Amino acid sequence: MKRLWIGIAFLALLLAAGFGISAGMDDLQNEISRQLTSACQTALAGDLEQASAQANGAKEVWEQYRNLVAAVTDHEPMEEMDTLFAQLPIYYKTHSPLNFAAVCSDLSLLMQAIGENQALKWWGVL
Amino acid sequence: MILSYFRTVILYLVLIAVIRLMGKRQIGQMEPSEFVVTMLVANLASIPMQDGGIPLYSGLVPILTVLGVELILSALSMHSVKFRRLLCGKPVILIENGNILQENLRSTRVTLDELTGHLREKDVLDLTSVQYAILETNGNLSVFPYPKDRPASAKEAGVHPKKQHLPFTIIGDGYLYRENLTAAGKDDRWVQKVLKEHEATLQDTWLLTVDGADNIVFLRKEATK
Repeated sequence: MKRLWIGIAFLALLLAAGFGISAGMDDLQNEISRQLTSACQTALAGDLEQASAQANGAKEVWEQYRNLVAAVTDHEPMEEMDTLFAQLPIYYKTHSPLNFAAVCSDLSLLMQAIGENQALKWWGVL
Repeated sequence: MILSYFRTVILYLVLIAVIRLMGKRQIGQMEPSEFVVTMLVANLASIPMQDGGIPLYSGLVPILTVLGVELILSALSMHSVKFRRLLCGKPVILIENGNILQENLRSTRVTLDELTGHLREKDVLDLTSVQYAILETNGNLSVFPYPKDRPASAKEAGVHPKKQHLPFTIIGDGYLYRENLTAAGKDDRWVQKVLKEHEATLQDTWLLTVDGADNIVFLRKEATK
């Protein structure tokens, strides 16, 4: 019976950790996507200064949790996020609100995809 | 990670069902669940090993999940005959009192060629000499010849062989196994005495065993070049 309880404990622990990580990623994804979506809309409205501040806010959150995210998700989309974040200052300096907005939109969608990879959805299981 | 967890459980159970449906022949030495675990764990470990872009959790979580499920299934198998039958199946008699049970051969999808091949592996050439042949749950064939066709035991031959004693490994590759020393009823002074008789030290000794009749096997380490 000891093996039975050890097995159950293993599975329960893994399941709890999975739900915890899923919930954490969901919060992170919502926060970053919200700021980037807002930055995109602000850039399209013509206020590149405000858009840049919002995008920098999203970048700070991303950099704060980047290593933790790297521990639980594929690295390729994360590297893509880093590449896209690196483009934002360039479009800001060159006064390109449309490009800036496009990159923010791409970042938001990519972050949602990273978050959904950890979410418990039936199509994800299949 | 949560997706990995559920995928692993589903894949594990599906693989068990598939192996059971495939039948005993393909399993070889292992029970179905053991075979699945072996197959899965090796492949799962290789995925994060080969791709540095995949986090280690991608390999660890499925492996630990498989381990958890295997522990549960093995514990349930120990405590429930019905569950064990469901997981591993039951042995099937293929030859009974010299008669080949053709229906059982068909149900286990063992051909006559395969049956005779397994018998040859057990050094049986004459089918009529086999009283029982049983296909075990791990795919092995247990063969029991008629008493008149098998080698006589010492008892049947009226021979009185020497009593057999279990040897204890006292020293292995220079390491002294204290628990074996105690189990053999010996002590350090005895070890020193034996080593002195063989003009050796603990580090020189590759193998030292002793059995219940005080028969000693001593092997010295070969000199390294």
